[in-house]
Parts: sequence; structure tokens; C-alpha cells
Amino acid sequence: MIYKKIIKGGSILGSLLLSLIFILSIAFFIKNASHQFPDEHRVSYETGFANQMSLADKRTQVIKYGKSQKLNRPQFYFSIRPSHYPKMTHKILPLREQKAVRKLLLDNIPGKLILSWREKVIHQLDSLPQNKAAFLINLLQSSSRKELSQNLRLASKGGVNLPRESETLVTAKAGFTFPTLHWHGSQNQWHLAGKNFLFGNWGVSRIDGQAVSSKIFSALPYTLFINGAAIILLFLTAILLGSWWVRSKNRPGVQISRQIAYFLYVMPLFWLSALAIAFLTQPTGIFPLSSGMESKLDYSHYLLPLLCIWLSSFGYLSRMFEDKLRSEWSKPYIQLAQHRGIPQRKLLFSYALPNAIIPIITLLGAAFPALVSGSLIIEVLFNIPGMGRLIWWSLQEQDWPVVFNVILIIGFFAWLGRWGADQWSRYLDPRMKWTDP
Amino acid sequence: MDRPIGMKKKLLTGIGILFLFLAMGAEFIANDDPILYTYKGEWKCGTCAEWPGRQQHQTPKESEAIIQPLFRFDAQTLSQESKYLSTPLSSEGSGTHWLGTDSQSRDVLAGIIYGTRYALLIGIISVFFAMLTGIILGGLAAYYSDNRLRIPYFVWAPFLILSMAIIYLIYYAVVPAIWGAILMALLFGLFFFSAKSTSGTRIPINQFVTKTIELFDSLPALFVLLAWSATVQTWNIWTLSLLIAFFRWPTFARLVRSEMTPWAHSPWIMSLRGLKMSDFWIIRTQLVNLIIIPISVHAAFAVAGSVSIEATLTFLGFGLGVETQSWGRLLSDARQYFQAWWLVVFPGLFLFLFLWWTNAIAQYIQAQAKKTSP
Repeated sequence: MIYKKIIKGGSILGSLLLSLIFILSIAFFIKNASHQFPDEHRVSYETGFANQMSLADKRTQVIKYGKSQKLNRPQFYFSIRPSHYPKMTHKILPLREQKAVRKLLLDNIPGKLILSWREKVIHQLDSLPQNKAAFLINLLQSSSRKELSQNLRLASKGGVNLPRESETLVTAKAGFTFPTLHWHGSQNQWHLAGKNFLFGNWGVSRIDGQAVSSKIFSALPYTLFINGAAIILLFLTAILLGSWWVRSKNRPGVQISRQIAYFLYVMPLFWLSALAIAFLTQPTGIFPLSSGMESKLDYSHYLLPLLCIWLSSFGYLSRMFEDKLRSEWSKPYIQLAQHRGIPQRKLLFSYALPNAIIPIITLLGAAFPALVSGSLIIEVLFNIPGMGRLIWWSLQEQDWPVVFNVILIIGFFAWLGRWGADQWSRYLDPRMKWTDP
Repeated sequence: MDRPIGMKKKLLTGIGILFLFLAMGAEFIANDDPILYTYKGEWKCGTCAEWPGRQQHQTPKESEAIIQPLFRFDAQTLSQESKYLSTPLSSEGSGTHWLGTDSQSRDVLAGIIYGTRYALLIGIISVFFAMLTGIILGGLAAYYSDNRLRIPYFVWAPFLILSMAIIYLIYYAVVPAIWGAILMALLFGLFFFSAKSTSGTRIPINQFVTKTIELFDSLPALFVLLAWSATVQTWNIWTLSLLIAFFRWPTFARLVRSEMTPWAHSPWIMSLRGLKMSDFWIIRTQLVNLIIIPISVHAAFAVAGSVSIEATLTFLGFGLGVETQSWGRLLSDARQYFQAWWLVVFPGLFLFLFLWWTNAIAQYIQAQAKKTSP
């Protein structure tokens, strides 16, 4: 029953759950697709990139961090893989070595052999001096048969006593084996990511160790303010301008304003804002430009960004509202009211307008995700410390915990905007109550 | 807007020819090397072969340039004489920088000309794939609705198992990816050609497609695209276009579904179905042709959307690399040097012209269709 309800989307919970699972999967996929190993990255930031720590020590630290972050869990609830693969590939840490082992397995080297060989090499690692340990680390990280044999040659030249399996490893072949299904249960990273997001354990930023939640909650108000203000502005202009366009059809001002609105709509938002910055801020000094410091932001800094968002999207909404109003205008109930002698102004504002507003609210809700995307450009360009600039900065620094949670939070708000607009228009329109299941 | 339609047609064709000309003949319009030159008495084409004067930055003694390109700079040249961020109309070395140079002393006009190619390619490729996916899924949803697609278990169960097996074989590198793709295509083809049964498990394809479209709708696309493009180290036109198409197919699917649904229940299609024509044939030849105008209007709008997304991504520093000269790349220089107004204005003007052109084409098709339809 619950399953059916979720699939049919009748309940708010089902819709929210589906949306969250979808966006969680996409964000999770993106996080895993980044060519970066979170454990190494974080440890390098903690200990400094060029410190004098020995390689073996650094490796153990990376493993310790990986274990503390539960990076040694499998990716998903189950996996299907060839039967010669070791069951616990996901337990190998550091992640770089895990990836190397996966590549070696893809090169058709038998899994058991790799694991036993690795154990011996790791055992050797602690006892060797620094210069020889580097050979072994390279060996552990080599990710193909060819690379492995090269690194083995280098290591033996460097005077390292290699385990006996090394030679067989290069030539051994596993052959074709049948797929097997492994069930990992709920102890997996996808499950963990979802759980952590829902319960608020968003982790720490990889670059400065600050809590992700504090970063996001200090950025969220800016984004919400910009989008909220933009929505109110757009809504008001759409109603005013749209009804003006309907009322006075053939005035020259109408044609010109429609033309301008169309051109502004075609202009990409980032070009519009770049033009505004280039010509209206520094050389002429009409508007101030934010330096990005939170404490120095005042209301004058929001004027130009809001103006840009407004300019680039008011045409579309006004045009849509005009269309809706026009189609209401030609309906029989308006004609009836006209024959009854109701004045034109009242006819427009209290008969046709309320009916035309309802689809515009739905449209605004549908455009909300796009609006949020637009605010990303605005925040980056005008240095407003909102979610858009946060994700932009974090991406430059490859700070994936922040990026992951920003995507989820923004996805949640985009869903909320859409759903809220849908519900509101449903509430406003008495006809919807009859068709509601 | 209310120009006579014949004049508008001429204007749109003119701009289209200009863009095509710039995109296809960029090497002949803006280049360091002469188009035609003589070297030791022999005639040679500088655009096709190596020009001996390239290393010395001047014409060598034995050779003589016969035809020079219109603009004497390549989009990639980092010539030593040119200064970075030099203003428009400043002449340096062999020619004039009509529209100035960017932060790496490359000519802006040449960059704009070469950027046309990227804009056109990305627009067309991404819209092609988005349209293909959208028409297939939207068409299936409209034609079969929720209760008309019935597939017996002895068809769909082997299909599922076989497709999973092929994915497994590709993923674990047992079979080369290209063979896997061919096998997959064969399997899908078999499945769709044999799927015309009226009994079996009901597959609610309409609900599935609408739910998927809804999920994509509430995605903040730019945030996700930005994060996704940060994971890829080297972009090329194909991968970027496919990524954009991945986020844009739902708009096509929604359009196709909503436009095709009334036709799918029309007497004409019903009678074709009664004549036992194959479903695939009905969708391909009849239904798609009936809604070709809304599809092409939307496609023209979508080209503008894709190009604008690409430019935005590249502008923010996450799209195409520094080595490509797309319009977004030129504009992204302006993000750091706002005092260089020519970097903001000219590439942006071309981008704007392109977007206006595609939008105007869409509106033109719409207007023509309205005129001819009863």
C-alpha cells in the first residue's frame, strides 16, 4: 500500500522521498566520479603538503582517517561481480590502493593472489628505510599489469627484497568466471550518505575543517533572500505589466516595452550581469560592488543583482500572464459580465485577473529551480556569499562534503518551491477541489 | 517583431549563412598563415600546410604571400609582439586587433569566429540527443499510455537478464565496450520490434515517464551540472553536449507526450491500429510527423538553451578548457578583468545574436504553421 502511494505521488512524503532519493543518487554519483581521494586530500590538508613525515606513517594516517569516515564500506546495498574477485575489495584502504586493486582485477589478475601479495608487501613496508619504502608504495599503487611489472623491475633495481609471488602476479590469469551476487545490507556508503543527510551529520569541510552545516546555514539566508525578493518582484511586474499589455493593445509604448522585454529575455543572465558590472559599478560608480565580506554587505549591494535577475526574467512571466489573461478575456463569463454593464476596470481586475493568476503561480513554482540556478551566477559575479558562491568556491577547492550537501539542500528547496506553488494554486482554485482524488 | 514575414525570412537566412560561413571557414577568415603563398616558386596553401614564416613571425625571403586571410590572427596564437588586454583597433605586428586581445594576448575577433563552430556543434549535438531520447520516451508514454503496453513475461524477463548480462560483460571488461554497445542495440531492436502483444504484464510506461520528468524538473540543473563538470578533467564537445542533453531531454519528452496524446487517441490512429499496422510504424511515420512542428520549434529554442548553458558553464570556469576558444571562454576572461570592456561586449554580442537567431527561427516556424493551418 505504502509503495503504491509513493509511486502514485499522491502524498507529500512520497513525492519528497522520491525527489530526495533521486538527487541523493545523482550527488553521490558525482562525488564518487571526482578524481580525488578524500582520505589523502584531507590528510594532506591536516599535515601539510610537504612535511617530513615518513611514507609509511602517512599511509597509516590515511588509513586511520578512512576508517574513521567509514570509507571502507561498500558503495551500495549489493554488488554483482566475477566470482574470483575478493569479497572485501571495498575494505582496502587507502582509497588510491583500492582503486589500483580494482584496476588490477579488471586486468584479469586473480583476486586471492593480489591480496596475499599485498599483505606481504605491507608487512615489509614498516621495516624499510624511507627511500626504499617509496618503491613499495609505488608498487601498491600500480594499477595495471604493465605498470606493475615496471614498478617491480624498478624496486628490484633499487635493492628491495620482493615477495616470491611478485613474478607470478604479473603473468597469472584468472580466466572467465561467472557473476556472483553479494549482499552488503544497510552498512553501505549510499545508505550512510542518506542517513547522515537526514540526521544532520553533514561532516566537516575538507579545506578548513569547519562544520559543513555552519557553512551552509550562514550561506542559505542570502540565497533565500535573493530568490524570495526576485520572486515577489517578478510576480508583481508580471501582473502589472501583463494587465497593462492586455488593456492597452495598440499604444506604441506597449509594442516597445514588449520588444525590450523580449530582448532582455533572450540575453543570457551572465552576460547581462557582466555588462552591468563592467559599466555600472567601477568606472561610473552608480552601484557599489560587494567585496565578498559578509559584515560589509548592506542593502545597496543587492540592488544591482536583483535588477539583473528581474531584467532577465520579467519578460517571460509577463508574456505568460498576458496570454493567460487574454484567454480568460475571451471566455463567455466575461462576455456575460460585459453585457450586464460591469465597468471594464472591474471586469479586468476582479473577474479575469484572479483566474489568470492561478496558472502563473504554478508556472512560477515550475521556474523556481531555474531561478535558483540563476542566483548561482549572480552570487558568483556579484560576490554575494550565498549557496551559489559556496558551491562554486568549494568546487574550485574540490571540497566534496560541502558540494554534496549544498546540492541536496538546494534540491530540497527547489522541490519545496515547486510543491508549495502547486499546493497554493490548488488552494486558490476552487475548481481543483472537485477534481482532487 | 511585426516585420513582413518575407523580410524576416531573408534576415534569418542571412544570419544563418553568416554563422555557417564563420563556423566552416574559420581557418580561411582568421589565420596567421596566408591562404595561398609561393615558396621557392611553388604554389602552396598556407591554411592546409605548414607556413614557413610561422616560426619567424615574418615572411621568409623565398616565399611570397598571394592571398592573405581577412583577419591576420589565429584564435590560438600567443604572439610575442601582441600585448595582453590591448584595446580594440590597436595594430600590432602583422595586423590590427579589431576587437582587442584577451588576457593571454589572443585576438578576440579570431576567438569569436572560431567560437561559432563550438556554439553550433554543441547546440546541434546536444539537441539531437535530447530530442532522440525525448521523442522515444515521450512517444512511448503517449502512445501506450498506462494500460496498453503489455509484454509477456517470457519476453521481458529474458530481455532484462540479457541486458544486465551485457552491462556486466562491458563493466568487467570481458567484452570490448563497442561490441557490448552493438549487442545492446541488437537486443533493444529485437525487443521493440517484437513488442506488439496484447496480453502479458502491464507496464505503466506513462507513469514512469511522467515521474521521471517530474524528478528532473525539481533539479537545480546548474548546480548539478557545475558539480558534475568539475569531476571531468578534460572536456570535449561530445562529452559536454551529452551532459547537457542528459539534463534537457525531459523538456522534449514532456512536449512530445502532451502533443502526441490527443493524436494517439484520434480516430485516424485508432483505425490504423485496427488495420494491424505495427506500433513502431505508426509512431515513426504517423505520430511523429503529426507533431513535427512543435518539436522543431522546441528544438530551435533548445539550441539556444544548450548554447547558453555551455557558455554559462565555461564562463564560470568549469566547461570547455582554456585551449578552446568558445564565446563563454572569452567572456570568462572578463570575469577577472572587468575593466576590459571589449571582452564583455563583443563575444557577448555574438552570443546574443546567436540566441536571438535561434529564438527567431522558432518563432518564424510557429508563425508559418499558424498561417498554414486552418
